[in-house]
Amino acid sequence: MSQEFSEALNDCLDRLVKGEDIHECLRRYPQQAGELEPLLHVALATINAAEEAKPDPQAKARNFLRFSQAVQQRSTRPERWWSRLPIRWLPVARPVAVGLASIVIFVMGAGVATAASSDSVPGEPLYWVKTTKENVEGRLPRSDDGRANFEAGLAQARGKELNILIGRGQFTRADIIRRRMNDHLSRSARYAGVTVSVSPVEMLFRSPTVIGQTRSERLVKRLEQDREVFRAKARHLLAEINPQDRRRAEQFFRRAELRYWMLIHAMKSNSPDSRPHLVFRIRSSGHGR
Amino acid sequence: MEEKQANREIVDDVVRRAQAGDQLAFADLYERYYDQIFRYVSFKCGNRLEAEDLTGEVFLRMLESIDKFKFQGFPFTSWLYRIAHNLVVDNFRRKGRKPTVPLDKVLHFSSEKDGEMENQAQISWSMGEVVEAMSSLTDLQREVITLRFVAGLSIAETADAVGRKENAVKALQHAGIRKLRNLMTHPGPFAVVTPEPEL
Repeated sequence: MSQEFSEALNDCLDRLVKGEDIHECLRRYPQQAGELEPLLHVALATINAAEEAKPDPQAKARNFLRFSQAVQQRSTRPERWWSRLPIRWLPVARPVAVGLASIVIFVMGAGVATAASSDSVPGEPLYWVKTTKENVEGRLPRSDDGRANFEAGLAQARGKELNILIGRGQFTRADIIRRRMNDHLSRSARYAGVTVSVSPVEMLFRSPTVIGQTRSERLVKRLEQDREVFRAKARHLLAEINPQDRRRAEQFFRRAELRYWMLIHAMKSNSPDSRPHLVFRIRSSGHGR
Repeated sequence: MEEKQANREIVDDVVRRAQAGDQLAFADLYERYYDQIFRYVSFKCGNRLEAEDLTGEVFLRMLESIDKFKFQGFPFTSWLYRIAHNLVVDNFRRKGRKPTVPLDKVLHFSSEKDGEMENQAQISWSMGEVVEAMSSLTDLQREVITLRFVAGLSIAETADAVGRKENAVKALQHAGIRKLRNLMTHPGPFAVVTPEPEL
């Protein structure tokens, strides 16, 4: 196809599309008319056939209704912040927005789950969230003082759980929790520079030199407060618990409180010769020794 | 040429107003292009009801993505036809079938028409016959012929819509018309249209 013929054909086709007659087109290109004519007839036949495809006015109106409703919805839709960004940022902005939203939702969800799990006890669905949070927090770098306080906090948390479990009569689980409470208190003592044994013979006392005197005093104060809270809650529960469970519950509380008492006593004592008294009582129920 | 440029400027202005949220501008675009798009889609899918649904979808899709249209040289019309093409192709894929010519529209080319062709007389095809004949063209030839003679796009607009250079479009157009002419003079068996590629 020569360039000249190509231009002539294209020009004629453009004119046909606009409605010009074939013969008028051919008159413009007399030299190519013979070759152009059959092609233009085919093109015109196609154009005329296309005229058959007229839209149904009702369908057009129906589609317009849908379209205009969509237009109205679009105009009430709030503008997205990334639509104001320069065009080169648009491919990046949307995924970034989606990513950030996912992170926010995840963090918020995790925060809600963590908050909801704070009062959970073993056997409840959210308890794993609580222990996972504790494990993660336990891996954060801290000073010995910080670790001693952290373990004291965990002991306090186990104390609350113990209270709830005993209140529900779940003594098997309560016993596991009591042991964990003791472990936390032992670790707290270890970080404070004190070694505690349950046996009065084996029990060794050292001055809390590891974390310093002031910090040690703060830890003792905290442990005393925790112990008082634990005792108060235990007293309250023992007053409400049914009589057949009361004695068993008392034993649990007493054994749990023993570790608090030993640790506080050890930290308060500056003398290696001091020995703790292992007899103590919970007075509220009237069943204590 | 000046008329075309003026027309394009008018359309560009309407598109800008639509992008700014002018509801009347959307109505203007609908009125301007609905019939053209319907013709184009009808030729592509060969079914009136389906063509009506798809044409409606084209405008909804246009509404969704009009903010993404940038005035970077190619006209709005090409962009709109590209949407229409992709929707037709998606529709065929979704329905898991190949576009075929509706049977009630298909007629063999008669020997009488052969004679007419030989005499270079005015010829008349039904839409079904044209769709049937075009099914023998290559995908690109068919697309170019449809955009040029059914949708009425210029060479430049067609080139933008199919993503080819103008010279390539001219060559495809020429080859397509010649093939159609040969089909009319020497009609063959019915052919089945192959799926359209993405433009």
